[in-house]
Amino acid sequence: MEKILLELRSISHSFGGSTVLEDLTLSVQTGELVSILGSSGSGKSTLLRSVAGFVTPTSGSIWLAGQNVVSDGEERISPEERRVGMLFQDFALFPHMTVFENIEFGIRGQSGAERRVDELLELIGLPQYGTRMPPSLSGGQQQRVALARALAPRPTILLLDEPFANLDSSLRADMGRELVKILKREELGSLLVTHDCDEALGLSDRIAILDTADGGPSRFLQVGTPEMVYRNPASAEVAALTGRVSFLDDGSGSLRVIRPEEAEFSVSRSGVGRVLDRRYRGGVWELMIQLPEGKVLVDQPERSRDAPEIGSMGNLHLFTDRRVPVPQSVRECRNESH
Amino acid sequence: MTLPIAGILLSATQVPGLVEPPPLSLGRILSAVIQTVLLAAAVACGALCLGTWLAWLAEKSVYPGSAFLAKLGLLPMAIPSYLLATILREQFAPKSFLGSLFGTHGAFTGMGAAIIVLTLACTPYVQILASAALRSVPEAEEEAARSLGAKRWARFLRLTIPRLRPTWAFSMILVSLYVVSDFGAVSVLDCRVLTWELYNSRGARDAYQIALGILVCVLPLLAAIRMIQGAEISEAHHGSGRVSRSRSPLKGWSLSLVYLTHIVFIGLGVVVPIATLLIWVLRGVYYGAEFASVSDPMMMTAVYAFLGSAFIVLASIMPAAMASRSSSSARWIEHGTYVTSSIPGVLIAFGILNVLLFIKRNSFIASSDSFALKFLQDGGLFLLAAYVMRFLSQGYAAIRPALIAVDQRQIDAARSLGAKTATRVARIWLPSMASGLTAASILAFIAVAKELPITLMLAPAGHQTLAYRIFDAQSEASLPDVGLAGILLLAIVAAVQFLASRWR
Repeated sequence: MEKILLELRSISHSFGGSTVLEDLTLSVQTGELVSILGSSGSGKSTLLRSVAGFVTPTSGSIWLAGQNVVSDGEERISPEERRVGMLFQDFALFPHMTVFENIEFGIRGQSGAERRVDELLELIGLPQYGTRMPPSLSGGQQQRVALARALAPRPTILLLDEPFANLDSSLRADMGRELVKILKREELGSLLVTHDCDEALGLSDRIAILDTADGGPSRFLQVGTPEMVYRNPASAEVAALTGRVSFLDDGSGSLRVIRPEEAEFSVSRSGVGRVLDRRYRGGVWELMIQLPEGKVLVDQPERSRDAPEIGSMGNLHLFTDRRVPVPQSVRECRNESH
Repeated sequence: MTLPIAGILLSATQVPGLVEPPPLSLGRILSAVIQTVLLAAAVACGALCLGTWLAWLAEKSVYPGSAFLAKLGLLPMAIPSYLLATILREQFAPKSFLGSLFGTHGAFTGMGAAIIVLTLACTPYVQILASAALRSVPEAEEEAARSLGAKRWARFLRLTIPRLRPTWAFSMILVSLYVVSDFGAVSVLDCRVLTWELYNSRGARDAYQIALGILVCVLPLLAAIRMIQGAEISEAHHGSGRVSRSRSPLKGWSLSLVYLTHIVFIGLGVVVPIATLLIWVLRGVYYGAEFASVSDPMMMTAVYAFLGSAFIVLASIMPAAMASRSSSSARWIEHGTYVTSSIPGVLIAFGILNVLLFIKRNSFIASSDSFALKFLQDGGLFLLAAYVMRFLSQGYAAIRPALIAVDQRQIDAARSLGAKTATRVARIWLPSMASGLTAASILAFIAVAKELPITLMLAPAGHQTLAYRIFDAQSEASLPDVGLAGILLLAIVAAVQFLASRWR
């Protein structure tokens, strides 16, 4: 049965008089992986550290497995007693302890600790590595050890702070898949913080877009499934954060949102679009098309036809008429130019 | 390094002079060895506990005035140990200010007094090292431990102590080396350790036995330092990321204990010494005491510190350049430089003194080259050579990073533009190294100005520096003179540091 493991209720946080996070409400259920996607400096890590207890939010409350851990700036349960597992960007393994000792850290002295460590070593695929020291491991292996260490005390929820940022791109996808498999097997709820939209779209059950819409404090701009936030972004900011996108401003008071795969370019001397640039991306050509209303990025499948040359004219067929409101900053620019 | 050792060997073969000190008994030598080891062990333990605690307070705690008190606590490092020892010896004497306060009966001398004075002098070094180790704990590690349920005490035991362990080992050895090498405090406090015995029996036929005893104590410590430094370099690859800045506020009885520690430590190490020097001078003026002239000692201090620092910087450039060019030889050059400078000053002076005596005794040199020899000795060249040996590592440590930092691409660009060696040195090397050269000069200047045993044993007749003057005046119990010379010495050191910071 699904149960709410984490609940954020109207969380706000200020640093030195300026509000950085405002009115954040979110919940995470058993077995669910929720990603917080936002640009650098949007306060993603501050939010995660608030859940862990290293930062006390100025207002709002946080509930972990039905227990109120912080309420309106008052810490009710210390970080040591919250039972959250945390996976850090640089893994934060204890360099003076072996792999076994690292994993055992949170359960030392408990009955069955040794068996649990062995189980976790099996789970992460490193059963022979118990006596190794962390610096002798590769980045991927260190990350698995850090995951096992976080899982060892059977936490209520797992917090993942950009866990793939320090890995090679070739390792990231594999590690992501493996992580999700392990989390599902352990039936854990997890909160992942990332600025990488591919990571968020590929791994999450739901995504919460955290960003500042108009230069003010960061808010959740949209919360939904990966398909929802990608296909139906609530704003231009959400669309830009969730993948490659072009906006066309036809003066109607809203912006037309076009993903590169939602358009097709066909060469025609009488067309209104001109190829400004083209780039091969393996299997598709990425074209930059100049239209009277603006520029549009188009993915042209390699096999469909020859890639149009730079400077060639043609027509653009759009498969969508999705629109978002014009952002505040663009509106202000327009008013100033008028 | 070879010169002092050659001198020690020569002293074993020397012909006795007209007045020879009584021979040293084996019991006296053994007693000096035991006293040295006990003193080093006691000071190392004391400084380790106090230094670590002060570092913990500075890095991990917050209370009113904590930052200011932490900085003030490092000042005893600037006061030479012989000056600190003289002041505390007088202040703890029966019927004096601190003596009456603590109800002392006997003189403040011997092993106990030396332990207190040297612990005060060494604690700031441990504090600096321990602070650096505490600062190096990455914040993420601390947070990971907290998220795994480790409370403050558990985190201290399982994360902080393992981080501190190499620093503790290094500090123990460094402090032991400082104590074994110290001459000033032990001589003022009449603590019969090896350095003081060597000075007292420097003219005796078997003084070389004491010199060898010091070497036996020092060499294992040096070897241990190099081993630990090697281990620390590999340790340095461990742990990365943002360092922990979290500090806990102190309240209640723990806060009272902290303030009490600061009052005692800063009181004895900073306030009492400076106040005492001022009081001695004022009292001398009030009672119309005749002050010995300090203009000559000041001049000599300035001249020798200036010449000494210039020689040290010049002598450091060659090994630093060699070490920065070849990584394979760098290790050996560095070892040689540090080992040379780690030999106690009294031992360097003893060795060079014996070489000098040997040259003097050989009539063929004296008759054929007596003018040159006189110039060498009276001009203080041997003294400068001893300063170079003693403080070479300070110049090297400041110059080598500056040399490494010189951008090879700039040199190549200059060569491609036709600049010859002299032009490249004048227009690229020297400007790029200016900060390193200045730092080396300042460090060397201050070290030479404060140096005692080498100056005491090798300075040409009539060439008395302020340090020498302080030592003389304290042995004559002329406290106003100690006060005046002490204040002037500290003022010179402070002025050089101030000017250097302004220049930078």
